[in-house]
Formats: sequence, C-alpha cells, structure tokens
Amino acid sequence: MKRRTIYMSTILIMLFAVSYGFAEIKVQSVRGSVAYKLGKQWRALRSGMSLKEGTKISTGARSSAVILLDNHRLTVRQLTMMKIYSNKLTSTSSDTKIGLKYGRLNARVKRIKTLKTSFKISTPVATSSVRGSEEEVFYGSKSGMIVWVLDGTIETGNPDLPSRFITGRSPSRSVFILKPGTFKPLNLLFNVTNASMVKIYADNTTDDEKGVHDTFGDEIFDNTEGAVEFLDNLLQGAATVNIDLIWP
Amino acid sequence: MKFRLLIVVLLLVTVPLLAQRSRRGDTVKNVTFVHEIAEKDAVNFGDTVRFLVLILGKEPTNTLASDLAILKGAGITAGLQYAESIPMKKGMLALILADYLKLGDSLFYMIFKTQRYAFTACIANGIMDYDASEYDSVSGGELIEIMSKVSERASGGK
Repeated sequence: MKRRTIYMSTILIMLFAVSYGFAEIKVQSVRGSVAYKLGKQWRALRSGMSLKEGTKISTGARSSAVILLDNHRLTVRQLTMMKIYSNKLTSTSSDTKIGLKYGRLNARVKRIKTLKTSFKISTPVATSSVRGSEEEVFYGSKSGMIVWVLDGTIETGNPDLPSRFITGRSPSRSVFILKPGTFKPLNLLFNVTNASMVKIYADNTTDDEKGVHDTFGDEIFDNTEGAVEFLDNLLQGAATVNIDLIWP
Repeated sequence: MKFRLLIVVLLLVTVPLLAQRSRRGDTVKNVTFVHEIAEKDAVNFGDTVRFLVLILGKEPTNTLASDLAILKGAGITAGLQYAESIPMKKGMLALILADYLKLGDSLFYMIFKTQRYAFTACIANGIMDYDASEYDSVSGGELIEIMSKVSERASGGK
C-alpha cells in the first residue's frame, strides 16, 4: 500500500513537471491565407490547432492569425513570415522567443507577478523585448525594424547597440526605427521633421549649424552624435556619476 | 432509386470536402508566392500584377492576360501595357498603385498622370520611400512592404 502511494505520487509529480515544461501554443483565429511549416512542407493553418516550437507561420495578403502562447497573445498581420523559436513555461519563469523575417506582429504580453516573463521578438537587425505590455513590430528589408509601443515599456537592442528601454502609448507614432546596415536607430522626431512644413532644430543649434543643415539636409543632423555618445567617447565608456538624494 | 440517392449523398459529402481541399491548396500557393517574391533581388511586371490580384482579394490565374483582366475589372487601367518579364521600376509601380488607390491629392499627378508624379504622390502618401528615384528597380522585399501599405490603405487601415 505504501509503495503504491509512492508510485502514484511520483507519477503525479512527473505529470505536473511535464505540464509546466511544455507551454501551450494554440491558434485562436485565422483569417484568409495563413500557412504553417514544421519540417519541410507548408500546410494551411486552422483555428484551434496546437503548434510546436520551431513552427514557421506565414500570412498572405488580407490575412492574419491570432496565436495564444500561454497567457500572451500574438497577432500575425498580413504578408508576414515568422518563426516560434521557443516557448517555455516553468513554475518560476515564462520565456518566449519569436523571429520575424518580414512583416508585422502585434504582441500583447501578460506579466504575472510570480513569473519572470521574457518575450522577445527578433528581426535581422535587432531584438525587442516586451515586458508586460503591448507592442507592434514591423520588419522590412527596406524600412528596417520599426516598433510602436502601445502600452507599457519595451527593451530594444542588438550586439552593436546598447539596450534601451522605451515607453509609449501611441499606435500612430513609432518609437524605434533601425534601418538595415545602420547601427544607430533614427532620431525619434524623424517622422515629425520629415512631415513638417518648416525646418525643426534642437534648442542648442547655432546659426552656423543651421546653415550647414540648410546645405546638406537632414542626413548630417541625424548622424551626429548626441551628448551621451560624446561623453561616452570622451570617457571611453566609463563614467562616475555622483548623485545626492534629497528626501523631502 | 437507392442508387440515385447514394450518388446524391456522395456528391453532398465530397463536393464540400474537395472545395475545402482546394482552398487549402490555394492558401499554400498564395503564401509560397509571397515567399518566392521575398527572395527576389528585382521583381518583374508579371510578379507585380499577380501580387496586386492577391491584394484585391482574388485568386491569380495562370496567364498574365487574365490577371490583367482582373485588374481592369477592378478599375485599374494605368501602366498595364508591359510584357511579363519586364523588370519593374518604382515609377511603373507608382503609376499602377496611384490609379488603384485614386491618389488625387497631388496636383501634378492629377494633371500629367506620369510615372514621375505618380511616384511623388506615392511618397507623399507614405506608400513609397523618399530616398529613391522612379527609375530604381523594385526588390522583392520592397514590393512586399509597399503592397502591405497599399492593402492596409485600401482596407481603411485595418
């Protein structure tokens, strides 16, 4: 009797561990032409299907799919090619890695306080990490990687680019644009300056600099280093900052 | 009588199944077409016409002539006079898209209807990038990006 209880307990513990190890990837809905590939052949994707790690998903024109990865929701927009690299769930952490070859994804990531959540979307130029928030990520070979933060904070970076935290809540204004072949994201006011009827200068721009800008256009300003990069070069990456905390 | 009934039942069961199978085949074919386009360094006129048929929500056919007929049926008439293998230039593409999207907010395009002003109208509407010329060829990746914007715009941003 005692031995039987031990066996049963062992089986139950193992089942519990397995259910935590294999996180669920489920297709919630499909619209239009959406296909998936696991192995060598592309097949039509249908709602209600369960997917495995390593599955590629591709959408055609006027098509989309909503994928549920445990508590997170990933919307694959039209004309997109992506891959689910990994989706792991343990009792302490949730770890998802998505690769975006081209197209657009919307990720709504639920953050559970008891779980260390990591949800990364990688494109050929950079990786964006959603931290309990909602973001829209686009990648195209011409425009590069464009990120819109709809809610909360995200972290972006690549091996050549120091990671940065970006907060936003606007679906119409992108907050991160990194073109292929460049190592530095475009100025956040890039779209504003391009759309403006008059030239927009920073407050500290001198008349000489404005003259150079009038002659050579936006390129020079967008490529000049900011104060942080200047100081960083001057101090060769190491700096000491003394902060006096004054409590009210 | 029983035999006839059997045939009717068989038809009722198999026809929807075959139709569903054909739809799945179309899904894979359409998606594979986009993958092939993505790998191309430069697309041709035939690729563009086929892609635009997909954007219209129709199934491309096997011939350029019938695909062009679909476009003409949807009211697109400008810039469709090329041979299938002609490499696509941005100006050629802009003229077709400006006609499809009825871009009427560019005065010069409204007057002249040329590739040059259609290209300017597409830039002004955020469909194409400003850092190029109308004589530049269109890569597969670029065509996907542009068509994605066109499709969003045509469906009212959805």
